[in-house]
Amino acid sequence: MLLELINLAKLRRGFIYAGIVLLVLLIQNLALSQIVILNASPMIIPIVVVAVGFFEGGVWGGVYGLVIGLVCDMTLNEPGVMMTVLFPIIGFFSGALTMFVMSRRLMPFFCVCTCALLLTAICQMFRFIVFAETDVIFAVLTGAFQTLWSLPFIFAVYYPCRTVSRLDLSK
Amino acid sequence: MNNFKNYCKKYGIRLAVAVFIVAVISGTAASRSSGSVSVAENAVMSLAMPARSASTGIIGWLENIYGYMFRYDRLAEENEELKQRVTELENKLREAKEVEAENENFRRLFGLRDKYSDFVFESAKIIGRGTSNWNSTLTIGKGSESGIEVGDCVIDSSYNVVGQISEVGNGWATIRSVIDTDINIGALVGDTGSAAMVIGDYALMKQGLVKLTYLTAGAQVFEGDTLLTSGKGGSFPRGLVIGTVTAVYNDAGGQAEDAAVAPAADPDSLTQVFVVKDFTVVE
Repeated sequence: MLLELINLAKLRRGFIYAGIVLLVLLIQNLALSQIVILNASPMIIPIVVVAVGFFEGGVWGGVYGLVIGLVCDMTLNEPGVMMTVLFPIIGFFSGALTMFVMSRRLMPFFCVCTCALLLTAICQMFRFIVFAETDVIFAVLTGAFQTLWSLPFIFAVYYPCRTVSRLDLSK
Repeated sequence: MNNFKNYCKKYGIRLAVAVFIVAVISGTAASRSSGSVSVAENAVMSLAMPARSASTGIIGWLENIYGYMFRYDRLAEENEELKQRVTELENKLREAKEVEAENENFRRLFGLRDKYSDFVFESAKIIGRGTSNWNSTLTIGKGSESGIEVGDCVIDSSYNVVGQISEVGNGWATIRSVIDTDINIGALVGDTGSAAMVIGDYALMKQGLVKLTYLTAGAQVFEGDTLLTSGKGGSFPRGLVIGTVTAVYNDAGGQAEDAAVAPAADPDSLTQVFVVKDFTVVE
């Protein structure tokens, strides 16, 4: 009776995405943060937020973005609630764009991810550029390298998420 | 395009309201807890601790293997240098013991009180390093259950300043390292002991340095000067080593001198630190 009220396919898909998100968070926190090239390490979390929105729609992207943002604000020691606000916006708009404007191919995904990565870097460097009396070039370079090193991971996230979105989970 | 706009209107407003509520709750919880973390953050960090601890251990092990395989010659050379340094320090220690005894006699002769520092330490292992490009933090495997509090000073085994506790949970605490952009430490410069401030600077943080600024009027700073904590503010005991001045330059207005300081403690190579939970310094 109760099971009939629940959309099992959606629930299963939700759990699979939660697993992917958890895996990406672990990789980001435990492995990628140790890889520092030219004073910057990759930041792949926005990619998975875009991926959920891209393949499952704006609402899923927004909700997953909100949860991931909360966890990121806790684990990355970022000031305030920046990620909690930023990631739902990224997730929602990436989903909305693919529902009405873009296709779900690799190239649009790459473009949206690049924009999301740049937006994340700009938000992260904002307080150093605006409020701190520091050499802006260092913040800009770190943001640029962070984005650049993250780009290869777009391919690593795209294909598993596309496979999950095509799975028939109703049975 | 209209569909896109309608979709954004319909769901975007609902999502914005949800994000606003969550952000306000999260922000309020963080500001009201004044350093000690919220229940949710504590749970997330506690769950992540075993994984972070394991990854730090594995990375340390891999670095050791890499060092053994590819840096053996350099390690052997460094070992020889260290042996030589130990001999020098042993000689200095013998001399210092004689001076100490002489000092003791003079104190007794002139009726002066003893100078001493009494610290209550809590040793802790570093189980994680900063995961962001925008700050410099360390995570230790002890927290509020060991009496560690936000603002406690953290030092290494040579009494060099490592940083300050910025967040405490159950079984973990975050250290804001000495080069982090949010650090503020009162300092005494060189032999003259002029007062100044050590504050974090993003550009210098990326080079592993920190900024010395707000020097008292007329005071001068030179390359090679050692900085000690002034003890003002109450968080850091007086007399701990912060670092050495590596470069002196004029500030943007050209009015005052600032300096770049290399911290005495190297947060990247540390495996164990000591949290100063309480201290008494008698001058």
